Amino acid sequence: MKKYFVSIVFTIGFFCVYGQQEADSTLTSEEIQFRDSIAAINTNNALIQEIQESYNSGTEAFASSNFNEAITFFESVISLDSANTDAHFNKGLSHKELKNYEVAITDFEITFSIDDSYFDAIFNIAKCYELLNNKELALSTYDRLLSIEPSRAEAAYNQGVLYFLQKDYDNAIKAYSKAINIDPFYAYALNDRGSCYRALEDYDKAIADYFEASKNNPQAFIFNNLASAYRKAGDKVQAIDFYTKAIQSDANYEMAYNNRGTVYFESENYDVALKDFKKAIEINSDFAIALCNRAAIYHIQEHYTGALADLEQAVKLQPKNATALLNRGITREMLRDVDGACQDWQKAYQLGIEKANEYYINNCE
Amino acid sequence: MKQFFTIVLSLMTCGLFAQDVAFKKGNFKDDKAGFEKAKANLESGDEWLEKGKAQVLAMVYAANEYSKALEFYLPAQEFNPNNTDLNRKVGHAYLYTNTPYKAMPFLKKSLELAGDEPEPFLYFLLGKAYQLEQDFEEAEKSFLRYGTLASDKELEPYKKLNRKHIKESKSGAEIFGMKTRVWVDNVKELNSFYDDIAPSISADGSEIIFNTNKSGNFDIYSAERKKRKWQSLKALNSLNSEGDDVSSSLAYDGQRLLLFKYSDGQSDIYESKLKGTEWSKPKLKMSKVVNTDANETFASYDPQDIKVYFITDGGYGGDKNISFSGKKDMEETFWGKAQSAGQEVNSGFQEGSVYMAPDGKTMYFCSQGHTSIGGYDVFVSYRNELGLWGEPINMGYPINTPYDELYFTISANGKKAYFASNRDGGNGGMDIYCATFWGEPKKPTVASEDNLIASIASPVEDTYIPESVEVTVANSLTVFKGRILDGLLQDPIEAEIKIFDNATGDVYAVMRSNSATGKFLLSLPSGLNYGISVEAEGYLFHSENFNLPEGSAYNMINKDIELKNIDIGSKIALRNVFFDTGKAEVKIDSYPELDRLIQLMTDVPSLKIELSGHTDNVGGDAANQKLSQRRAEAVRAYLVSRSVDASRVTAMGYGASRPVDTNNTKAGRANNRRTEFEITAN
Repeated sequence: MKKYFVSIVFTIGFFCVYGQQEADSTLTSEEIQFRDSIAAINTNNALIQEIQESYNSGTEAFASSNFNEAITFFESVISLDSANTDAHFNKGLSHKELKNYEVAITDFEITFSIDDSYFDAIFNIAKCYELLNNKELALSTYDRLLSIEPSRAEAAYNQGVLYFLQKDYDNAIKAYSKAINIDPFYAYALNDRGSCYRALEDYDKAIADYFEASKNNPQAFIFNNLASAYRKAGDKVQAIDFYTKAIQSDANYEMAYNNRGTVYFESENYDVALKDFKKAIEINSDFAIALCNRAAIYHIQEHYTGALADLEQAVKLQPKNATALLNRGITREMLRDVDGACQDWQKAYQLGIEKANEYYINNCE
Repeated sequence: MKQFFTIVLSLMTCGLFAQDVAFKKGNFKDDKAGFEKAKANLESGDEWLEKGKAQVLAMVYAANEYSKALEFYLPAQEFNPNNTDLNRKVGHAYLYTNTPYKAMPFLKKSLELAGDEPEPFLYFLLGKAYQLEQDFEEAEKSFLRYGTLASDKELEPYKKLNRKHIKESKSGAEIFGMKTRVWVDNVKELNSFYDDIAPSISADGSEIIFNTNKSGNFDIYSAERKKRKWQSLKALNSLNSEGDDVSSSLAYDGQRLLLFKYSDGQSDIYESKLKGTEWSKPKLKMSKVVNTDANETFASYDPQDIKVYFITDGGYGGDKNISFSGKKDMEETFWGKAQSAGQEVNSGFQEGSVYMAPDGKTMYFCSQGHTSIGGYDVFVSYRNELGLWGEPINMGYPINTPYDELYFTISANGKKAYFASNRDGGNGGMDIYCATFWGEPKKPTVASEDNLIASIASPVEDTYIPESVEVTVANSLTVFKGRILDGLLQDPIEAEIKIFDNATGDVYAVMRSNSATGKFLLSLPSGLNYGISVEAEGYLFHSENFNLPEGSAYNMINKDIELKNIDIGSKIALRNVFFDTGKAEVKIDSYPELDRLIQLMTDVPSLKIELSGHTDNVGGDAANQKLSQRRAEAVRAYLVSRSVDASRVTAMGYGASRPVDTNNTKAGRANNRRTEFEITAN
């Protein structure tokens, strides 16, 4: 989004600027007027240069993350050129970076009021509302944007995300569909809509959307989602195939290794599952879920101390990971740490795992 | 010599292997008194040993007898540790006490001392010791060897036992090979150095009642389970008498207790009820129809509270078996005659205890028979649809060992059970153990994770760094305006004004002066070194220079330009000929201007000129003159190099002697610093 600095404001009256020649009393009034107009042009040019230099200083400060300094520069520009939309907009961005979202919104509104084609301003107002966690206003602002810029697929997409995060999958689907109607090749919208269908357990539609998304944008995470949809639909073969594709697309996509490992685990192919979990951890040593999963294999192999070490790490990384707590309880029990096991099962139950309560009742009371 | 070596060799050999030292006076000449005492102990020990043997053969608990035997044997052993018979007897006695694991060293020593012909019974005893060490292969070999070596008369009383032990050795290897999903732990908070037996728990596992003989007689104790530990241990004094008081079964609700007491040489089953916090005086449970002159001991409630299962030796053969009786009225005044629990559960050997699980269909009991792996083992039997008890199943290792495991009781959820055992590693005597059943395998859960939202998986950059703009540097203008006039007549001339970029020689702009007024106006943005050439036909060109670097301040120059005719004496300052300070090399920027002069020389072939160099007055005259001369010559050289006839051009340096402007100002000095040409001939 670029807007070149084009507005020139003649806010300064004509100055009488005299050249380096001695005061010319022989000049006619026309010549004086001409001379003065030239002087005014020169003054204006100096003003423009000052405005542009301040603006550029502002952008430099922004690039260096010196947002307060950037704001100062942009304000300086605005003081010289109050209709400078870029300066208002960038000032808004700077405030947004400083988390002064309300102030940023004001800046963006001013930008838009000066130039009602400055759609990015509305877009960023919506983003600010998101960051303020005011989802309603964010959604309505996206609606506002779409009403004036119907081709802004991204606005519809962001609405979809907001609905998705609220688990309002039906509205999310509508919003994503809007984005896809604007841009049929919008891979991200297709992916997310697939995720909505998956949440609604309509796996056929989920698979269709993920597949379409992967054609337009063959990224690892899309292949991974496709694989997971197949898996949910019960097709482990396709699931493994597409997890493998995800890995081929990105050899460091640890999630795909982990997920493929779980499919092998369910098939009791523990040696192969272990390899995948190990690889996932090798890529990301803080991958709590993979640590938990590797611990599951170790537990089954009765390598309880190894399992416990992984689970301790997983819980340290994610203290509220209910699965890790449940599993750690199971392993602790086998290591005869009944008190520890009971504590873990209690916590896991509080975090929503019913099985943990069953274990607690049968073993701890 | 040969004989001498044989004797020496024999003596040496005797020294390497211990020899059996018989209890004979001749062997203890130095301690006759000690010998007499040891011999007396030996004889006393033998008496108790025989009593113990009789008990064992009767399948009766003989720990007391053998313990007594040890009281005498051990001092004798200390006196003479190298007697094969005594070592065997000590080992024998230990095997039937509550520390049977102490037997093996004595038995092995006995074997070693016996040489080539050990007592056959030693192999029987070794078999039992190997069994306790869970070396079932060696145990079986030993029992088989005993069966082979013992005479028929010796073997006869032990035939049944020997066969039993061989069977135990076979099943022992098999049972030990099976992994049972249970942990067994010594309940340290309940156990003493003495015998702690017969635990029974409430259905929820929160209360335990057990028995200990730490006071000399068996007394009844209770404890409560808090925070997964047994606490508040206390003696139930209202139940404990001077003699042995042994509880056997706590009702599922913890409000009633079955126990047995000895009176007049035989035991009967009693019941106590919990009144508040105190247990009532025990009353006979079941009538004398059930509590006969035989010994009725360990009993268990039935969940329906109609029957009572118990151990009695009042059955056929005098073995201890499991029986039951059912009440005939609600007041429990009348009871049915005791009936055997069936041939499936009652083996041909002793049954030690019985417990009915809360489900009413599962019976746990202890037996020396069935597929025991040694001593008493815990078995489980299930009642079939006909109401008959099924084939007993050995509870397996680690609940069962070759030692004695007795008095099994289990919680309603099947998670924990308690029993007593004299296995190695306890506190002493019989100890109470807790079996924790693992239950169904708890399979760990695995989890997967997906990036469902693309903008989170692959974050969309929605902030951006604004780009800078191209700065239009304050284009200060220099305005050059004026009129073009005839130098002589001052008439306005319409002249062509060319503006050059001196750096490149490119024409920047061309304009014309007003023909009527001769006026012109040039706007020169800063950033270039401009050469201005004003040309009109018939006139010499006029040269001006405006060097306007970037950021130059605004300027306005108003100047009339008088064009000169191509007359001799006409002088034109070449304002766009440049030299570095103090140098005489013509700079490249000068070439366009000089090319214009060359053009003039070409256009007017008759023209001859003098090129002159001039300086301001800064510096010495001589230096200025010299410099100006060199510069004039440099310009001439350029013209000549560009094919201007050398004869048409002369070069002269005048230093600061011919100023055209004041030397008091910067601008004036700049004007004085020039290269001129003057027409010298045409």
